[in-house]
Amino acid sequence: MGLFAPWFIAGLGLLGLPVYLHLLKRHRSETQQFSSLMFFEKSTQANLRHRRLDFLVLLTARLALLSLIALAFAQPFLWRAGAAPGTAGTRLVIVDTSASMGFGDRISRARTEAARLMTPGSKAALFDSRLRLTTPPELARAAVTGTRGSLGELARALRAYQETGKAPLDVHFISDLQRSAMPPGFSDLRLGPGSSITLHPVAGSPEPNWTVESVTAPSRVRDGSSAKVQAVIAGFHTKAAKVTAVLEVNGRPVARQPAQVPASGRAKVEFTGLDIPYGFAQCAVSLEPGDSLSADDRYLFTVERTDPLRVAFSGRAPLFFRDALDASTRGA
Amino acid sequence: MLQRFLDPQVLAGIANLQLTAKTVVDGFIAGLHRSPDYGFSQEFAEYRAYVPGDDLRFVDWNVYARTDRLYLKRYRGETNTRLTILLDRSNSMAFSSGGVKKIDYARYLAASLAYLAHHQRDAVGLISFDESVRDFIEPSSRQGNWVKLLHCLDRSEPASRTDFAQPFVHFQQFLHKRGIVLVISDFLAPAEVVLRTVAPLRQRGNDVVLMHVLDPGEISPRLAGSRILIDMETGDELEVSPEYAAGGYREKIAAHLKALESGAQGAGMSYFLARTDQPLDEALRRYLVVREGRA
Repeated sequence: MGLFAPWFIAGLGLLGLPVYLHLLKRHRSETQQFSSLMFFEKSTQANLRHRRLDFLVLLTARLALLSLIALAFAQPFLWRAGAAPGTAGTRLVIVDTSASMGFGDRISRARTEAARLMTPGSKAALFDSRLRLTTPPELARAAVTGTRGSLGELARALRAYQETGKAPLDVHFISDLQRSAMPPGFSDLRLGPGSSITLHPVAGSPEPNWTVESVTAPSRVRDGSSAKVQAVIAGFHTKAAKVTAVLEVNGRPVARQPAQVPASGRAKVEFTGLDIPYGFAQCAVSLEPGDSLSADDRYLFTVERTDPLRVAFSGRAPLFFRDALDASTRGA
Repeated sequence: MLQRFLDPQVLAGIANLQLTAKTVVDGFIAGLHRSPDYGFSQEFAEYRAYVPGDDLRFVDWNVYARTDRLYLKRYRGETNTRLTILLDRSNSMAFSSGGVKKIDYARYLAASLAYLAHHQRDAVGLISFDESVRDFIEPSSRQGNWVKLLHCLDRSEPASRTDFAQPFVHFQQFLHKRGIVLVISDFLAPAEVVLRTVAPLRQRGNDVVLMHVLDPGEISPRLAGSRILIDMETGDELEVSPEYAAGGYREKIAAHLKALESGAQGAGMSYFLARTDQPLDEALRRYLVVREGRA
């Protein structure tokens, strides 16, 4: 047994209140003048003694009520014993729909594997960055969402789900098991008591993937002719090859640069001159042609074109301010 | 003081009613009241069952021959009467549950009736008692006697406990003439004791009226919680629960009232319960209506 909010147990201190009222504070009946006691009998006092017994019952009831209130706020729960050996818990089939599952036919293989694992009484769920319960037909139509999931987040969601259902889980997770999805600490992968997880990798053998790993560009330009855009093209499990990087402005390609990328290596390309209209422009560096995992073949960024601001300086060190402004402009 | 006792509104409420005795004692001043003087020259009034002490000369032997029962033949006459008020001034009469004290209510009642009787040229007297006779004013219709009676009422404060037996023995020597005897008390004694003590007054030919003054808090006490009740006369203490006050107590006092009423009627006396939460004029009016046999 455990408590979700054990600090509310301090509320049991309120039990002292009825104890004080019933036991410590002496009962004292008020006196009252009355014309005659000839119609009252001694047996009346027997009724009062019986009533004091009722007070003890009342005290017990009040103590029990306060205890239950404090306990209710503390939210107690019972740890159920794990499933007996050989006894499976509730089967939960989860399909990873993160961006990496869009590579090749991973998502279709995941759907096939999910259909094989689904049994009567099984539950289905999708996981990208969060766990979402779904129906078996929806599971069969699972699509990539383009987000990045974390296995640590999945384990936390499974623990919460187990607390809700109060039953152990037999989890089957169908994923490409990206290394980047691993949480910082291994303990984050802990499941609830009695639960187990079975991994069903669908990544298969490593497949080549090109990606635009990073882009360096000014966020604000005054004259686009002197602006430079640098991009890093990376290849994973790829052979040495020549790729073409395309610079796009507002969806239109404005420049192309070839790059010679070594096997499973990186290469840098640079575009000089960024002719963009005034205001914000949506820019991108993409690969041409793309590969089967197109989500990482394009890197988006924005650049703003503005007129220079005129600033008048008065003082003894105008050169210092001019150099500082030039440096900040270059840095932007 | 007169205004205190004789509230004009109270008197206005009873001015149209005449104090008519059911059985009238002999008197010597002509007035409006019916007289029990018997004689063949008087108008026949009624037959009344014989009670021990009645003069056998007035038994209707013809009726006895036919029914084998003793009845008195009664006649009516016009005369005045003597009103003697017996006022209980024991400590229990000082009780009040928030309204008028019983002793104050009894004094207002006595003064109003005395005034009414005095207005009709009846002789009015007063005896106040607790465990013994405290004050005695001989019945008289003189103006000075009336003022004296009001002074006596004014200083009648509760001072002791009630004992019906002892003072009523003394009453016998004061009440040597027949008339109306009005007993104003809370009658907080066993009903049989009260009736046994008062009945001799009736047997001496008086018309006895028991005016039972009670506070509503005595008839239906309401206790918020358990209370230690202190007897105002004896000082005894008893812890009482509200459940008993709302149940067993009410049954007992209801039985007490019933026993007093039925016992008084059985002894040929009148009984009237006057609650202190009732308007005074209403109590007087009801009393007079009862006395006139119209209730």
